[in-house]
Amino acid sequence: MARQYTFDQIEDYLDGNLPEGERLDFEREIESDAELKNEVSRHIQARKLNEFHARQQLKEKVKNIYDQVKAEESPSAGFSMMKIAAVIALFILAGGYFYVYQTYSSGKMVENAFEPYPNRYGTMGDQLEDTFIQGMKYYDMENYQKAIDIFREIPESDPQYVPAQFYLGVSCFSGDEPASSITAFQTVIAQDSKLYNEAATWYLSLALLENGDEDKAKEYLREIVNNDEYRADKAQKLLRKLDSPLRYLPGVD
Amino acid sequence: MFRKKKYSDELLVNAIKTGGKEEDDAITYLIKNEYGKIENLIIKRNGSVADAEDIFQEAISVLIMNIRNGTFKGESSIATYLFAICKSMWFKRFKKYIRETDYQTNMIAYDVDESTPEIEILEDEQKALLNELFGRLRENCKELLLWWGSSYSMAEIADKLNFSNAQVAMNKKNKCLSQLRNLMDQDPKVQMLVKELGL
Repeated sequence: MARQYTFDQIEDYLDGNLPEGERLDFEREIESDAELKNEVSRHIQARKLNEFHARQQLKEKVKNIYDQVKAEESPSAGFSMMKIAAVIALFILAGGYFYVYQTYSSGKMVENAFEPYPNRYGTMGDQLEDTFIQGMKYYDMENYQKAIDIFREIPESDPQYVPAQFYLGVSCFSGDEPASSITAFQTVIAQDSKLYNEAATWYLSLALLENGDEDKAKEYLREIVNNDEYRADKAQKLLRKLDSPLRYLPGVD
Repeated sequence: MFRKKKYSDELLVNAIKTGGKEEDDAITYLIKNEYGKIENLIIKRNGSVADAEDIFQEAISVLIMNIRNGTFKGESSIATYLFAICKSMWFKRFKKYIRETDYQTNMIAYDVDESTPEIEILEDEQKALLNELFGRLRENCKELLLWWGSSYSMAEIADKLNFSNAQVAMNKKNKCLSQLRNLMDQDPKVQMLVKELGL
């Protein structure tokens, strides 16, 4: 090497911290000095290996979180949650009437069990003209009334009719229209959609419960549990709550 | 009526920049809310659930890196950006598969963003070697290099590691990197790994 550069000087160059004049001189020297060029390459390799390692660590972390989320959604995790719920129920027996109300009144049970179904469709630019996707945009924004208006426009002949009916059901339910959501979910189930049948059954049971038809709701919940369908864990939890003697305490339901 | 906590894009960006538990919660939120769309996209385009999981996890990592290093500028929503990364990664992988199997198809010519990284798959042995190499670094160096390799700025690293300023963080980074390079030079297996990874 014609001129000796320190480790820090080479790093300053690679970090972009050299003043313009020094940077140009340095680059000229790299071109003419094979030893310096090799030294810089080794720096770059170490930097790249470090970045690679950091990416791997991040990927491991994402994977672990992903596995954890999926495990929590699995029926076996639901079983553990039920055990916890049982402990909580004992605690309730010991004292908190208010908590009993919060947990066992059918309205609260439905509220606790419900969460909007995720949007399985993109809302990308190339699909913006699509009526269904327009509805999904409003659904994503939780503007359920607009979403309902749009989904209702989609005719039976449209290939998106079943998903539109499904998301119409969820939107009606979120917008406090359980009776309308029952009709929409029954439509989906009648179409026997592979993609939405199970989820529609789950939401239908909630809508029936919300609408006061507990016996019919329980029939669907049992069907979900027996067939290990979508949200079987939550259905089982709900059935236990519905059958709990705590519900017969005065004023709970 | 039934509202669950929803992150705005701004909150997601801040949580990812902060790191730690806040970042973990943001990742959990993205998995719960965005995975379904990606699975739908990939299955519709001849992929499997395993493909969807791979692509989605890789894309989340890319999104996080791009938020940290400023490549993500918020010109589109995070959901749209993540979807675009997944779409691009999937078509890249699918094209490679088609090339490898020499399968004739009337596939639509998709516009693949060439800057999207391909999925890096490490063999267990390579993983072990890499972990062993970084395990030989001093504890403080391991942490500093991890933050630096994760695209945090020197000012952010100084803040996280309680250095007085960015220049101190920069000096420490140089020392730690020098230590890493010496370890690399001493280990022929690591040199081989570097070649295999094309670094």
